[in-house]
Amino acid sequence: MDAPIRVERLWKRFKGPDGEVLAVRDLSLAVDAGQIFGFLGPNGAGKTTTLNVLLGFLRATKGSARIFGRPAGAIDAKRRVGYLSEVHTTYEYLTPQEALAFYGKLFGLPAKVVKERTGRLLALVGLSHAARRRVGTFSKGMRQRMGLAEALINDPDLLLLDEPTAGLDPVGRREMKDALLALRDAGKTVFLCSHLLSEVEEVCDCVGILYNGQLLRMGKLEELLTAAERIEILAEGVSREAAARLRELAGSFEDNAGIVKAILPKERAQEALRAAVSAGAEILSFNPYRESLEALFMRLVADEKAKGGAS
Amino acid sequence: MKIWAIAANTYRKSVRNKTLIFMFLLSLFIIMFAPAFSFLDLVHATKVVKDVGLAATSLFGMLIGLFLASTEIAGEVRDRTAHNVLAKPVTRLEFILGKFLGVLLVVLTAAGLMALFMCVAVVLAFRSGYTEDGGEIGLLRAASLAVANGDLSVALVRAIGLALVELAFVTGVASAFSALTGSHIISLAATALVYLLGHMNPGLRTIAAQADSAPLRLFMTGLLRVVPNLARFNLRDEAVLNQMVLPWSKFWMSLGYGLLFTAFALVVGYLFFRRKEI
Repeated sequence: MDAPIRVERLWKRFKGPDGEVLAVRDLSLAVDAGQIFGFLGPNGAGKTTTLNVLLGFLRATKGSARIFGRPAGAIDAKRRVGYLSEVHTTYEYLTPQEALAFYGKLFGLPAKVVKERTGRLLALVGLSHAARRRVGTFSKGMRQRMGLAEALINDPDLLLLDEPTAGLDPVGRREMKDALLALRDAGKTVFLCSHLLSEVEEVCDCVGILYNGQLLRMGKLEELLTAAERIEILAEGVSREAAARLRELAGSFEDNAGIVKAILPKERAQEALRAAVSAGAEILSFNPYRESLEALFMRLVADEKAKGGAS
Repeated sequence: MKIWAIAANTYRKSVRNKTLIFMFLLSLFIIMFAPAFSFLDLVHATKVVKDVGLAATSLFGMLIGLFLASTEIAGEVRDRTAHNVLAKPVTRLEFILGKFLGVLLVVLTAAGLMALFMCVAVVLAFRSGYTEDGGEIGLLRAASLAVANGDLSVALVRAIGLALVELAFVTGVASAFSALTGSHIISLAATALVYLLGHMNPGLRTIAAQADSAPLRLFMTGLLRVVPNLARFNLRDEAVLNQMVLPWSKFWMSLGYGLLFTAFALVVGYLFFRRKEI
């Protein structure tokens, strides 16, 4: 079966008044069915450009982008796709019911099916009460939720979402996350572009981290966060000499009111443990260190910046 | 189905346009004001109404088509509503055709109403200058007499028909430029230029024939091949005088000629828009 998304050695170059800009460089990625894939990166990293290539709005300079095995932008591929842009724009004079009826017609859906889905989708995104109000009177958050309903009108197998929580309040964000998890449980694939790392960490199965148009890291979230093979030691009653030794060995060392937290490379962990135990410290925990997504992201970006500075 | 959905949505959007409503009401005002010339004798009054009515229908219909079609596609790309549509299984050809047909429907509705009001104004002008048995006649009687008198004639219908074809052409060209350039200003200016050159076509032909410079002659000949002769769509004199000078065969040829150029403009617009990054 063809992967929902397969991008191979994609390059995208824009020509501007100030010269050429490489928005995406040699990007390769594959998204498997039934997962939420977080496509992360700071503003300007190339996330939206990649999405626009996948939808056929932009042409690849080099390389290929395919959806369900079909070239990006192919009509039969788009039948299986739902799309929500970062700032959702729709026809302001339409009511949600009219907008969903319009988009349903573009998918060739029978009126009966559209009517049935309209009620269900408006309930899902919490807009049943505003079904007959013009979209032009909606708040930013309501528009974004309306965008999600529009993206789901064709019951898509793949959802392409660009910053879907932009403009939503905390409750709206929680509801959006729950909706995404429910969609994954229903077997849908979600490609989620975002720079909100904590949100991505909560819902994504896999992530790709993009910086300056380049994919820095990609893989299952758990594997990426524990991939550095580091150990975290928590200890209490550590003597001054032992603390100095730990500080020497550790990549990161904190002393919070007598409780010492040291994060070390795996190969130095045993030596650090011996030093602490022999100095009479009580070991509270000795575990593989799980980095937060934000810490991983910042570390990768800092490394990349350092490389850029060195070269 | 998809083209019709896009056209219907475009129609719905366009009829809300305030500029359109203003231009439409202004044209109706001018047309309905024309019977005021009935202080002239009966024959001249209906002629003035027809002349003013046809001119207003052509001019305001053209302005409405030019304005709406120029802003429609470029505006949707700029506001990114086009992205929502094109993310669905909709080809760019379907998008352009849907937009064109939606605007055309608005233009034809507006121009059709203007033409209808002109006919009413002709009847009113006829009625105000005609008495029977020393008294005023009713509206229906006035209408039937206006038809019998040749004030409402086939010549007038033909003039209205070709005026509508010209409006379709202007709408097609503006839609094409809007898709091609992505700028409503450029589209407005370019379509206005085509419109002017189209109406100057007979004069330009003379200049091309008499030009001494070979490059100028070549340029003019090339230009005249691309820009249609819009003077062919002007049958105002025929309608005003109720004299069908143009044979029916040439009338149908003009109609086909206009539709062919409209299709040509749309195809050119599509060929550019098909590969355009949005």
